[in-house]
This record gives sequence, C-alpha cells and structure tokens, in this order.
Amino acid sequence: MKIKKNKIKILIVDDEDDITLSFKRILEIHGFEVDAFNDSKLALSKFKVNYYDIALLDIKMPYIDGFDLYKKIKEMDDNIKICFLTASEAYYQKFREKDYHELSRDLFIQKPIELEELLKRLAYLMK
Amino acid sequence: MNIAQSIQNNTLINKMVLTKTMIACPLMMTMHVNLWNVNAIKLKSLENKHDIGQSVECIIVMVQWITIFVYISLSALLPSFYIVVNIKQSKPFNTILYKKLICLHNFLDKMEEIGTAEGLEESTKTILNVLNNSTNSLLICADQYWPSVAIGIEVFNKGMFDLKKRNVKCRFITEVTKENIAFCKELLKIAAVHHLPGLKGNFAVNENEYIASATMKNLQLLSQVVYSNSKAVVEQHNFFFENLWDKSISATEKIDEIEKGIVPEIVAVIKNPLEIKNIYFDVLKSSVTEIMLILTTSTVFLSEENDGLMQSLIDASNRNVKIRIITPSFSNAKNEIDNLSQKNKIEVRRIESPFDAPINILVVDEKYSLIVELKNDTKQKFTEAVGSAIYSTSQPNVISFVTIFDTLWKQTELYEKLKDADNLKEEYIKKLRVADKAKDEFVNIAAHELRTPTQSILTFANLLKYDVNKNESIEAIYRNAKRLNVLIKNILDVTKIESNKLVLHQENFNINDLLTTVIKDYTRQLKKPTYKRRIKVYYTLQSEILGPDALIHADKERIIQVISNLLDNAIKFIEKDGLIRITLKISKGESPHANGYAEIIIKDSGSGISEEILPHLFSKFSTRSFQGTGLGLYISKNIIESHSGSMWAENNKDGKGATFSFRIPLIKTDLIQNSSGVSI
Repeated sequence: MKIKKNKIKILIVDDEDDITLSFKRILEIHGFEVDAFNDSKLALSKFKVNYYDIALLDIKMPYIDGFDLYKKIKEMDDNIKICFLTASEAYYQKFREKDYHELSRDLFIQKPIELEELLKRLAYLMK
Repeated sequence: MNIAQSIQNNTLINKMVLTKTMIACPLMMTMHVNLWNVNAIKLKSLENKHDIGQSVECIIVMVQWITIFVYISLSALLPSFYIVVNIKQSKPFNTILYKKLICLHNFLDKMEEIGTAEGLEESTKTILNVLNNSTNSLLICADQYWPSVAIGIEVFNKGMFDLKKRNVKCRFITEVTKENIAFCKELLKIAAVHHLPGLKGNFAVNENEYIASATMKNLQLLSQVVYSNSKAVVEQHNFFFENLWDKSISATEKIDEIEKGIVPEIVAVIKNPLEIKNIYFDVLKSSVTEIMLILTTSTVFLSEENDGLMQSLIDASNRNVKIRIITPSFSNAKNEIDNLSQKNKIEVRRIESPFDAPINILVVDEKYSLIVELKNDTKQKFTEAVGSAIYSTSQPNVISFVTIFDTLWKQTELYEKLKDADNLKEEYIKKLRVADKAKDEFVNIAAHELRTPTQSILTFANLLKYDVNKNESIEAIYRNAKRLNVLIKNILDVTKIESNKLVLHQENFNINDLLTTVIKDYTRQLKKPTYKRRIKVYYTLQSEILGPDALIHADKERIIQVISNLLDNAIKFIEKDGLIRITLKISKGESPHANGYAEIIIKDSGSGISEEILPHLFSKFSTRSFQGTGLGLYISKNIIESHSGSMWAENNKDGKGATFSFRIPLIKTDLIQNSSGVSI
C-alpha cells in the first residue's frame, strides 16, 4: 500500500552532477521531495519501493542505462510514473525503436528544458 | 673416244666399250646372217639374178664381222695380240678393220648402256669421268652430305673447280644445314646452288650421262655408283632436276637464315597427338625471350602426369624468359596456375569472359606459334586430350597470335583496372559510410555535450532567483559555461588541424617548470574538500642531463592543453579513488648525434582503454566515456606531432589503468646559447 504524503516524491537519476543538483534544488523550491543519484547502480540499490511518485531518469549513463533502470524499477514498483531525460535524441530513438515501443513520446523530456515546461510535464504525469 | 684408244688405255670405259663390242659383233653377225638368209631364199626362187650378188656380199660382210669379233675378243683377252697383229703393218686388213671399227663405233655410240661401278676406286673414276665428260652442263642433286664429299675430298674438289674453269654451266640442289654451310659456300663459288629441305637420294646428269648413288656419307668416298648414258634416263633426270630446282630455294637465302638464326617459315597441321606434345615441349624448351600462353579450362596441361609443362615454364623462368599466361577466371587449373605464378616470375592474368573455342595458344619468342585444339578437356593424358594442332613459324601467322595475345592482355589490364576502380569505389563508399557514421556520432555527442551544460546553466540561473546557495549556482554556471567553451574550442581546433591551419606560437621554455605548474593546479583542485574522490598525483623527474637543458621550443598554451587533456582523461577514468603517476624523462638521445628529448608519461590507475577503442584511440570522435566529444586525444596527438614529437598509449601491464606518453624534442645546445631572453 502506497504511503501517501502531501509532497510529490521524485527520484532523479543522472550521471551529471550539476543536473541532479540543479534539478533537486529547483524542484525542492517548488514543493517536491527529491532524491537524486549520479550513479544508477546506487540509485537502484537505494530504491524505495512504493515511495516515489515520479522517476526522472537520464538515458545515457554508465553501468545501467536509463532503459534498464526503467525495467528494473518497474519490476519493483508498477505504480511509479517514469519520465526520461535525454540530451541525445539519437540515443533514445535507437533504444526506443529497438525494445521499448510501448513508451510514448510524452515520456521523454529533451534537455535543455525550461523550468516552466518541466513543472507542466510533472503536473501532467501526476494527472 | 674410239675403240682403238679404248683398247690401248684399258680403262674402265674401255672395258665397257669392249664389252659392248663383244655384244655388238655377234649382233652385227646375226643381222647379216639374216640378211644373207633372205637373199638365199630369194636366190633359190631365182626371181632376180641381181640378188645373187647381194647374197654373196652379205656372206663376205658376215665373215668380216666374225674376223673383227675374233680380233677384238683376242685383243681384249690378250693385249699382246694387238701388238703382234699391228694394224698399221697390215694395210688391207687395216683398211677393212678401220672401216669396220668406225662403223662399229658409230653403232656403239647409238647403243645405250647401264652399269654399276663397285668399290671406292671404280666409283671415284666413274664420277670423275662424268665430271670430265661434262662440256656444256652438269646438274647435281644430292643430300646434305654431298657438299662435304664434293668439296672436302681433294680429288672431287679439283674436278668440281675444273668445271668452272671449263665454263661448264652447273647447277646443284642439296640440303643446306648448319653442318655443311662452309662446303655450300664453296659450292656457290662454282655454280648456282639451291636448298631443298629433307632431300634424299643423289644423282648427277650432264649432257649424255647419268650417275647416281644411293648412299652418301660425310667426307667419304662413294663405294657404289650407277651409271647410264641412256638418253631416256638422262632426260628423265633432267626433268626431275628441273622440278626439284623449281621447288627449292636459293642456298644463299638458307645460309643467311641459318647464320642470322632466322626460322624458316612453316605452317603445318599436326594430327598426331604425340607429335603435338613433342613440338609443344620442344618449343617451350627453345624459348629465349618470351612465352605467351593462353590456357583455357584445361587441367591436362597442369596435371601431374604432364608436369613437363610446369617444369618447362619454371625452367624458362629460371632462364629469365618473360612468361605471361592468360587464363579464364573460372579455370579449373586456377590454383595450380596461382602456385606457379607465386613461386616464379610468371605473370598471370585472368579474363572474365570464357573462350568459346577449346583451344590453347602458345607463342614463343614471337617466332613460333602452336594452336592446340582440345577435343576432350576432361582427359588427364595430353595425348588423349588434344585433337589437332597448327604449328607455325610463319611471321604473319605468329604475329597475328602475338596481337591476339596482347589484345587480350590489355583487356585483362582494363578489366583489372575496372575491378580496382570498383573496389576503390566500394572502399570510398565504405569510407564515406564510416565518415558519415562518425559525423552522425559526432553530432549526437556534440548535441549531448552542448545540451547537458546548457541544461545546468539554465537551471542554476533559475535558482539564482530564489536566493538559495547563490555561490554554488554561480560556480556551477561558470563550470558549465567553461565546458561549453572547451567544446567550442575543440571543434575549432579540429577544423584548424584538418585544414592545416593550426598556428603554433613557439617559444623556448623549460618543460619541467611547465609540468610542475600544471600538476600543482590539478593537485590543488583534487585536494579541495568539495571534491568527492580521492586521487593522488605523484610527479618524478628522471634526467640524464643536468642543469637547464630540459628546454623545448614549443607553443606553451598548446602543451598545457595536451597535458591537461591527458590529466583530465586520467581523472575521468578513475572511478572513485586512485592515483596518477607523472614522470618526465629528459634523455640525451639514443645516438651521439641525435637530439635529446623530453618524454612525459602519465600513468593512471583507472579503468584502462577498452580493446574496442584501442586501435583508433587517437581518431576523431573516439570516446568511451559518457561525457566528452572524443576529440581531445585527436587534437593532442596532432599538437604533439606538429612539434615533431610523438604520442602513444597502452594499457598498464598490471591490468589496472592506462599509460599515455608523449615525446617532444629538446632544443639543440647551440640554439639554447643563441636564443635570447629565455629565462631558465
């Protein structure tokens, strides 16, 4: 049973320190509760089942890439809403075409994204 | 020659004349007896009284003939009898005998004789007589040994040259060979000589006589001669001679051919497979300059049983004969031909389109051609596989085949070029694809590298509005802006390198000083409390030269760029904690005259270089990291090379991390002394 709290809980996994740090800071200012990881392996090992509402996952990461992380998280928590962050369009296209046809384009956030747009996308995900 | 002389001389001819006389006298007697018989019958019938006188006359003549027969027979058997009964001492007898002898002589002249002279002496005498008897003409047709007999044996030599002195019109037919060429040249001084290849049999005819010999040997007298003065025989052999004369060629021409090595022109159709085989290999063995061979699909020429061809070609190649072979690309003898060509100096070209006709063409030295028709290509035996062949030494023929060969050869050349062009096209297409892929990769990497810091700058700039950790945001904005700047610089550097527009602002400086400064900056950064990883940096200087000699003439900024790039890479690939060992080696150089060099070695304990990346580590866009454009090492290597240095990399032998090194020449001592304003 999901523990509901007032704040929307977001998990951010991105191998870029500055991305995770800046997103954590700005989203926290906007009332989200954020856990951020630069290491996808660590993120997976520390993943709290039925805790997060949204996971923002970078795609191109060492060791476990965004798609593998998505699969593993979904296995543990089917209710979590997942959105991909990507700076490389070709990379996500390649993977999407290969294994993840079920993923709609709406689930991809193209970096760089303005704050207003990011907040809109998060609101949309929570509907 | 008259009979009296003949008796006196007692020569062979005389003996012959006597023999004839012995035969002639009974004939004459028989004739007169018959005549007398006719007259006697007439007398009996008393038809005409005048016939009685004729019959008596006949009897008298008959008696006279008997007397002469006896006399000559006795003269022949007992020469002394002739002396005893001297015709000069007995006038009436002399008159009668003389008249009868003249009559007999005339008769004998009309009588034809055929005989054989046996033994060396008699044969020689017969020949010499014929030579001497020749007054107007002498025709001799004899085999290749005759010139040696006619010129090489003194007695005949004299007889032959006498003919010239007597202005006897002579013509000779013989076979001119390498061996008898000197004798033939002598014969040409006497008369016109013709050459008839393979001439067999020997005969000579003058106006009235014919002699022949079945056998003749080099420089040897003849042991048997057939003689005839039969008009028919003489005429027949005159006819034979004229025919042969028309079919033969001038001996001068042949001598020229032999002396200049000219091959007589032959075009022959050969149907005997064994003969074809012999000619095939003989022609190959005789090759001096070039062999042209067009092989069809046949294995027969290269089968083990017939390895003679292979061996002949190898031998010819060893004799420095140029060998060219054209064979269809699908030939079933392809491997054998390839092996032959690899081991020897034999050029082989393949032709795509198959030959319509199952033939093999061999041209040797542009003198001989042999076109062999294959009736059954599946047969392993040469003699079973070949049908017929055309062997030719005729220049127009041979040259035609040389032209055919050359045309095909050029065709294969064009075909090869076309194939090469196709391959080149394929290669270019492949390269273009690789370049295209690399370009796409670069666009992706560049896009990622542009977007990531931009995202950070955007978000941190937003954060500045909220008055939270402002310094942290400003630092992050600065850091990411710098990252963007590096990316832009790298892209510009690559453009400069590719268009050869990389400008170096070189100066003399101490590499040790520079390296120490850069390392200190890095160490300061790595030791910051905010830095999450623990990376230790060690620096060692190993110098073979003391003092200020570690000077290089280089672009300081570019060298810093290279060192920073290598250190950044080392740090990037150290996952968490680790160490970087930096060594500067100052070397005098490997030889006394060689320049010294500075070698910078940066060894890290990181993840090492993946096997996949290693072969093209210094190529553009070669990256394994999740950050970076893959341009850094490409630029660094080019910077070092533009300083006449070199750069290389390898994984550490202990399996942990990699070592990147570069070497840059030290400046010469005299250059150091001459350079002004250099602070050391």
